[in-house]
Parts: sequence; C-alpha cells; structure tokens
Amino acid sequence: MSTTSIGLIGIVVLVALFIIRMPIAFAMAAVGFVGFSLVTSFKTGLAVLPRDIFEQLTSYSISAIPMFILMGYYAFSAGLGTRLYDAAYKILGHVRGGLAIASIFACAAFGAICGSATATAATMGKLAIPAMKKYGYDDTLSTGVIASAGTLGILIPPSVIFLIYGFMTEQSVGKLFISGIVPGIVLAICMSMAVYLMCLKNPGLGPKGEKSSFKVKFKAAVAVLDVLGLFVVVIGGLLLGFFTPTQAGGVGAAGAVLVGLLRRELTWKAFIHNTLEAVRTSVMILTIIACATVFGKFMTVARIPFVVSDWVASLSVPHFVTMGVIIGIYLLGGCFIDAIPLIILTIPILFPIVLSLGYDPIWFGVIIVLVTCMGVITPPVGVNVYVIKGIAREVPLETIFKGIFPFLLAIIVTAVILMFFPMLATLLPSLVE
Amino acid sequence: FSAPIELKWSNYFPVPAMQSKICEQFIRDIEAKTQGKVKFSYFPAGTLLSATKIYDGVAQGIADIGFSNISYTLGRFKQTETLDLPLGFPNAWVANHVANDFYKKFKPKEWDKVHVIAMHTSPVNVIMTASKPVAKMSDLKGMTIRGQGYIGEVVGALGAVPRAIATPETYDAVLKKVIDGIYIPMETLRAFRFGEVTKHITECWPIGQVYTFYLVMNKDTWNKLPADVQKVFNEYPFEDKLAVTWNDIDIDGKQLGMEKKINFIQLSPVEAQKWIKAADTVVEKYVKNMVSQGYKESEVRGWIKYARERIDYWLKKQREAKIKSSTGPDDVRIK
Amino acid sequence: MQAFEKFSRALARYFEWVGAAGMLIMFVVNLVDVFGAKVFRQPLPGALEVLGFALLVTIAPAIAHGLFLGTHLSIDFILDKFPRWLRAVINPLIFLACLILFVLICWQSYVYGGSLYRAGEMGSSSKIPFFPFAYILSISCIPAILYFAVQIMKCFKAEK
Ligand code: NA
Ligand code: NA
Repeated sequence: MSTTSIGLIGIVVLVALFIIRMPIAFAMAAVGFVGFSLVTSFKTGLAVLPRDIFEQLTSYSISAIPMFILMGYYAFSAGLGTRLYDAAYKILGHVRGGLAIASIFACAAFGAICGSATATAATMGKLAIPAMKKYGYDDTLSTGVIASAGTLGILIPPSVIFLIYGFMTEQSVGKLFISGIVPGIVLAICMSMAVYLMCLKNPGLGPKGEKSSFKVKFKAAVAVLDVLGLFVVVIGGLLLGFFTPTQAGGVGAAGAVLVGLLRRELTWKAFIHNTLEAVRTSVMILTIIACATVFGKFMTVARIPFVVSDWVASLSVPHFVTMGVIIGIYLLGGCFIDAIPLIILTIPILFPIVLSLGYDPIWFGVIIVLVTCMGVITPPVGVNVYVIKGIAREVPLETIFKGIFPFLLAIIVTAVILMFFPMLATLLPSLVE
Repeated sequence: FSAPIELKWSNYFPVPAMQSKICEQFIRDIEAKTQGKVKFSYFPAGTLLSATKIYDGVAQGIADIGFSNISYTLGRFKQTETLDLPLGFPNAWVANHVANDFYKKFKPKEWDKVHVIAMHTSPVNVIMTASKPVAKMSDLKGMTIRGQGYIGEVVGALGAVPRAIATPETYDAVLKKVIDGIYIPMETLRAFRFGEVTKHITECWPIGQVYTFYLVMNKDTWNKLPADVQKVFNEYPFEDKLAVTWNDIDIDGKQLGMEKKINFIQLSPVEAQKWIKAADTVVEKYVKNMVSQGYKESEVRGWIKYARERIDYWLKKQREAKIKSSTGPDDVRIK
Repeated sequence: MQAFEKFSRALARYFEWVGAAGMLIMFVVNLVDVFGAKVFRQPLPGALEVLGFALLVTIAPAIAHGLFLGTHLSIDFILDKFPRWLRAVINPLIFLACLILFVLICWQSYVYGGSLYRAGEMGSSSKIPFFPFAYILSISCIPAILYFAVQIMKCFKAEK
C-alpha cells in the first residue's frame, strides 16, 4: 500500500473514531502514532509520540494561551466581565443582539493585541458568554459569536498566520499585517449584520433591552474605567511592542487580580478556584494542540499536502476555477489539520501557481487567512469551537457548531467581497513603503 | 531492478532560503549520481522535525538526513561547542573549512550515534539594531539582544542582555521593540527579512563567532546503503559547496543591506581589542566549565588552539585563492 | 473496585494541584520577567525557557483529572443515536485504545527522558536540563492509565 493511501485511510479512521466518541485529542494522537508507524516503522512511531507532545507542551509561544485564559478567569472572578457587560448592555442593550455585536468589536479590539484566534476566543469567551447568558441571550448565539469573532485575532494584525505566510512567500510581513486591517473591519461588520439579521428573524436569540438615558449610559461607562484601563495597558503594551503576548496575558491577569483586591470582589477562595479552572481549560486546549501535532506529523510523512498540491498544479481549467479549487482545498484541509502545518506544507507548491495566474500575493495572503478563519471553526477539527466548549461546558458541542453557521456565511461573504474588491486588501499596504 | 531506497531529508529553514535551496540541489545531484537508486522526500521548514529536534530525530530514524545547528541543543555536543566560541573567525568561508578540520581531527564521540556527512558553519554574527547604532561596547549596555547558547553568552559578556527567541519569531520581536537587536549573520537580512526592521549593523568580526551546523545521516540508514551509493555520498563535495554557499549568501545579505541604506559600522582597532577581551571571558568560562565536567584543561585548550591555528591557515588560503567575503580583514572583505 | 476508583480519583486530583502550582509559577515568572525587563531593564535570564518548562508542569499532570471531570472533548451527539448494545461494545474498546495510548506515552517519555539525561541537553539560556520534564510527562500518564483501567472494569461490571 502506498504511503498516500495510508494517509487517506488515516483521515477516514480519525473521523470514525470521532463519531464513536473517542476524545478528540487522543484519537488524533492514536491515529497519528499508528499511521506514522505504518509509513515508517513501529520503532520510529514510538519515538515520535513522546517527542511531539513534549515539544508542544514546552513551547514558550504556546504559553500565551494559558496566560490569557488565566487573565480571563481572574477578570471574571474580579467581576470585571460582569461590569463590562452591564455597561455594554446599558449602552447597546436596546439594539437587537446588541451584546453580541459589542462582543464582536471587543474581539476585534483584542485581536489587535493578540496574534492567535484561540487566545482571542478564550479571553473574550470567559468574559462575554456568562454576561450574555445573564441577559437572556441564547447559547447558540453567544457561543457561536465568540468562537467566530475570535478568528478576528488572526485577520487583524498582529497575526501568526501572516507571519508564517510572509516568511514562506518572501512578502513583507509589515505590508501583510496592514493588509489585514480593512478586511478585519469588513468581517466584523459582516458578522454584526449576521447577528442583527438573526435576531430580527428570531428575537429570542438576543432579546432587546430597554433604552437607557444618556446619564445612565455615562454612569455605566464610568463604572468600567478600571476595566478599560486594564484593557488599554494590555492592548497598548502589545501594540507599542512593550510586551510579548505571553507577557501581556500575565500582566492582564495580574491587573485583574489587583482590581479585584482593590474592589474587595476577589476572595482567596475564588482566586484558588479560578486558578484551577484556568488549569482545566488550558489542559483541554493544549492536550488537543499537542496531540494534533502527532496527527499532523503523520499527514506530513504520508505526503498528503504534497500530493494534493501537485494535483492542483496539473489542472488545466480557467483561472478563477483553479483559485476556487485552492480555496476549497484549504477549507477542506482546515477541517482536519491545524492551519499552520497546512500552510507550511502547501504554500511552496500552491503559491507559484497563484502568482502565475496573475493574482496579487498580498491579496492571496488575506484570502489564506480568511480561509484559515473558517478552518478554526468548522467541524470536526475546529479549535475555536473546542475552546468555547471548554469555557461554556454546559453547552453541547452541537449547539456551538450550529451557532457557527451564520458567521461562517459572514466569512464567506467577506471573501466574496474581497474577490470583487481586491483593493480592500491591497490599497493600504500599497500606500506604505 | 529494485525499488529505489527512500530517504527522508529534514531541514528547518523556510523553502525560499538558500539553506533550503542547497539541500534541494544536493538531493537532485545525489539522485542523478545514484541513477535513481536513491529517492528523497524533502521536508523543509521544520515540517517533519523542528530545529531543536533534528539531531535526535535523525538518530531515532524519524528522518534519515538532517540539517541543523548545535546551539539548539546546548550540552549535547560539548566538544564541538568549541566552534561556537568567539574565536575570531573572519568569515563563513574560513569557518566552514575550520569546522570540518576540527571534526576530522578530533572525531568527538558525541557524534557517534549518527553518520556525519559534513560539518559547516553560518557566516560570522554581527550586531543588528533597530533603535540606536552600536559603535562602542558601552553602547550595548542595557540593550536586549537576541542570541542563544554561546552566542547569547557573548551578548552578555559584551554588556547587553541576551534573549533566546526562535528565529522566525525574531522579526516580530524587533518590530514590536520587545528586543533592541539581534546578534546574527547578515544573510538573515534577506532570509528572515531582518533588513525590513533593523537600521544599523556593527560588523564585529574581530571577535568572529559563528553558529556550527551539521549535516548528518541516521547510522542504520547509512550502514544499509549499498557500497556504490555510499561511494557517491563520500565523493560528493558537500563541504566545499556548503562553504561557498554560506559565504555567498552573506555577501548577498550585505548587498541587500547596502541597497536598503543600512548603516554599517566597523570597530576601531582600539575598540576591537576591548571586544576581544570581553569575548575571551566566554572562552575562559567554557574551559572552566569543561574542566569541572572532568575534561583535562590542557586537552580543552588544545582544541581551542587547534581551531585558531586552522583559522590562520585558511585565511591565508583564502587570500591566495582571492576569494571575497562579507566580513574579515580589509583585503578579503567586500565594501 | 470502588476503593480503586476512589484512589485513582484522589491521585488525579493531587496531580492537578501540581498543575495549579505550575500555572502560578508561570504567572509569577512571567511577571518577574516583565517588571525586570520594563522597569529595571533587566529581564529574568532564561525566563522564556522556564515558562516553557512550567507549561509542561501545568498541563501534563492535570490531564488525568480532566478525564475524571469529563472536560476532554469528544463528539457525543452522534454516538448517542446508536443502539444500546452497540454502545456497550464500542465503549470498552475506546477505553482500551486510550489505555494503550497512555501506556505507550508513559513508557516512551520515560525512555526519552533517559536519552535526554545521557545527552546532557539543557535550555540554552536557562541551563535547566530537559530530562526531568520528560519524566514528569511520563509520571503524569499514571493516573490517566488508572482512569481508563477503572472505566474498562466498570464496563464489564455493568454488563453483568
Ligand atoms: Na491579531
Ligand atoms: Na476546522
């Protein structure tokens, strides 16, 4: 049997294991291990298993994820999230789905400091989901909106995906970063419209509140100055390059503890409880990431991404069809493989094709990131959905995936808009030199 | 006629980088010379094994061939780490030849688990800064400079604060001013796009420090290769090609820096002596450390002495061959 | 049987406390590093590696308690539609697969730790050796193995 067919069978087996309720993480590690052993040897498969898990679990860049989760939990237990959303409710509550829309823009703001879709969803989810629940929002909407809006973290700079794409294709990382800003705003608007339309059709999803007077709004805004202060320190610190993401998460967590102590809202018991909760959520996410690496190595050694890319290169169809096929591949691939290895393995072969078809490399970078945004929320391997599930444990996975759907459409609409108006991505970068 | 022997080649450099291109060239050449008896699967950009795991991964058979450097695995190649010290390597061409001489002379037992195809080295590290120029050693005080292993030790000895950051993440760190600069060869101006984020380069080749690289093969894989295939590997000029490539890409990087109007700074002779003195503390620290681990001091000093002798020898050879480099004394350096 | 389950659960909980300690170490080391770097221009040497090691200490020991709490994700809405007898066949097989996986990770991390010990590899700026952390990963698998053993026993007990 050829290595490629072992790889394809591996994908089928993985999906089958998901269906019969093997935990996602362990299914990926198991299939990855067996597959790697079949392609190479049992001895080599055994060597890969501890090494990949060990490497992921000792990686500094990944340590940003638990730090932001910790920040989220501390901020939550210090009552920051509740007050923030009380204020948002007083200011935007009279709009249908107003809190969900506020959350999208909060994710966008957070995305401006954080390069990862996962961390954005984790932090915002911890704050936003309980608050939306309090105001009677439906679980489908509240979890779906955060899982999806979290993807703004990789579209709005800084962004891990743009960084990797820049290195792979020799494009200016600075220009790529800038190119994500306008599409990021467009996507945030499209998502907000999705919320509004959903709530128009089914008002029970995000109930309308009473309209508050200006005085009440102003008072509510003043009450959250400390939250804004913390946000400004974390956001500003990262934007000005004062902190790495891990550092920013740690500073944010410390700030939240400090505010909680000053306002006497944080007890010792709550501190310990929330530390443990942060550990549990981090464990769930990082176990998946570590085990996904083992599966990714199997796909790599089975040469699946190479085979697919070679096939595209051999197509002879009109340009836009080829582009459609390429986007389709990333969409499909994003369902099973983590975005980063997928890009690293396919870009070398697909990028020259894209260039030869006459597409702009910066524009294609934005498209890749948009498609990656879809990948992190589509089943069965949709990391952001799992992150949200880790935070809102009582909500069934099915409900979250259902909640994703309108926002998936919003991402597709954004991609179509970019197809017709490529300058939305390319104009800003062309202005800087 | 039998099925070709399949070999997995692992490298951590991104695809467009010259270090990746030369691996591809080796692959094409070996495949042609063995007339299809050997077929490679090439895994660039750390897709099969990351930089830190390449040696161990090759020893375990996860990949058959690996290309990485020893600073990622501090402590594993204790004797070879001599070559990572600031011994005054003038440039890549000289350093590459010295590294191979060193390996062949001492055959350090730390390489016993693999078959060494060739040793090689990066070009000489220079100090690239974004915030302010560094003309004197005292300018480095309080600056945070990226460097790991012995490269980081030298950063510390020169008075700056070393910071270990993975190379691909360094661009962002400089851009966001998380660090003030990088202690790295000029070829990265293009390969890792550092030319976009740095403004000044201090060419501190008088302390001449390089990253020591290796190209190794899994031992079982090597032993199982037919004699004629082994012969192709043995006769192929890996060492010379690597020396030329490392030398050329650093020249290319420097020329890119010139186009980008980067401010190049040479150390004055007085200042160079200060730097050498500071860098020597790292060499002494290495000796002390090795002695504390049971090596004889005379033996360790012997390795250092040998490396320095070979530096002089190959610099003379370079002058004879009229080969130009990005760094080094006036007569061999491009300006 | 019940005593065995109680013991496994308690062990997993103790391991989770190690994880919580790891999280607080990350938190503190991170803060010392930031304040050192930004206020005193003197970051904590090797902080990045210490954070990486602390990450492993946070995650690995706490994996098993997550199993008892049911926080590890699986897709349950499809299997729920399967007939009862089929689920009774599938469940022990899944637990067995997970048990084998964790036995392999436990064993191989131990072997890997030994190889890191012999190689003498350490963090390039912190000078902290790698091998103890591979051993921590290995030991962390033990409560997880016990969890799956308990679940398999429960499956057979339920059938009787
Ligand atoms: Na971002
Ligand atoms: Na997906």
